Amino acid sequence: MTTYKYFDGSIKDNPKSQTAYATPGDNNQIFVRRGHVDTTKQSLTAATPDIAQVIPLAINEIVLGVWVRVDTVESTSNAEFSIGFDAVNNQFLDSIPCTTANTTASEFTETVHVANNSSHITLVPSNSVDLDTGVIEVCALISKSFDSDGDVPSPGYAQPLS
Amino acid sequence: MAIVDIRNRVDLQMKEHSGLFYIYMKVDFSKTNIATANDYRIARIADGWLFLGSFFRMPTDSTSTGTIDIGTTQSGTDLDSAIDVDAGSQTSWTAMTPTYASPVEVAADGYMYLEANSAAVNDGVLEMMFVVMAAPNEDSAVG
Repeated sequence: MTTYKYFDGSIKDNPKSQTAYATPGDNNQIFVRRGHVDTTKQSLTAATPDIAQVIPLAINEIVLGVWVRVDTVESTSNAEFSIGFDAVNNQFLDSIPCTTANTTASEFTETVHVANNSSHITLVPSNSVDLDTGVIEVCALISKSFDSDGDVPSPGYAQPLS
Repeated sequence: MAIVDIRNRVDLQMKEHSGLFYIYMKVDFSKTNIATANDYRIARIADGWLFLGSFFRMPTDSTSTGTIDIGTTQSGTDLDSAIDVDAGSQTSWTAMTPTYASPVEVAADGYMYLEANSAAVNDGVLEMMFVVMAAPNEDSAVG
């Protein structure tokens, strides 16, 4: 298991460093990267909104699936969040309620696979409710792409046509 | 519709790693026109393979106002349908939208297809990238 640091909380506010995990390790071709957003340590304002950088992505990585679950509920009714890439307008999983806790992995919500040309999987408040009491877990199935220096193949991998 | 095999005009590259296949394809429509009357074979894959991820981009878009389908069936719709070919230059990869929940199992004839929906596509460059898992006891040939 590889442990690394990531930034939790708003991009524009003081980020708080927390620990996220990857298994079986970032050096493998395909792996799972997991992180938490603890809004008791870094609240997320809905009006702006604040964008929490949850899971970092390298340029040669592609995201095949994302799951989320609510570890600790938000106390404000109708609280929701959305998951996306970097900017707030680049969401692929919208309006997930976070007022009910999910306690098992089976309650993760699967999304369709998504592509990476971004630096982070991000989380933003939605439904105009600030997030400041809950803990949300995000889990991503990530695969490396063709090369370590980019997201397109380089010469050398060509196969003869049949 | 008639089937036209354009595999020898498709830039196909592949990398295998631990049972996963990373397939990259590029089609230059200025050199290989796609008409609405035909279905176009772009690669041979194996029956039963599972598509874990499918992505596309068009670094050079088309002047055609049509859309294209990409799939493992002759109708070419199961990996994505109605991709807009004149949406502007796209240097970022975009996830395809499979007809079914991922992973998508390859159809029986073992080929991948392109299909032009509403208008011929005579220019532009389409790139595709797939992450595929080989199913057990299947032919592993790709081409």
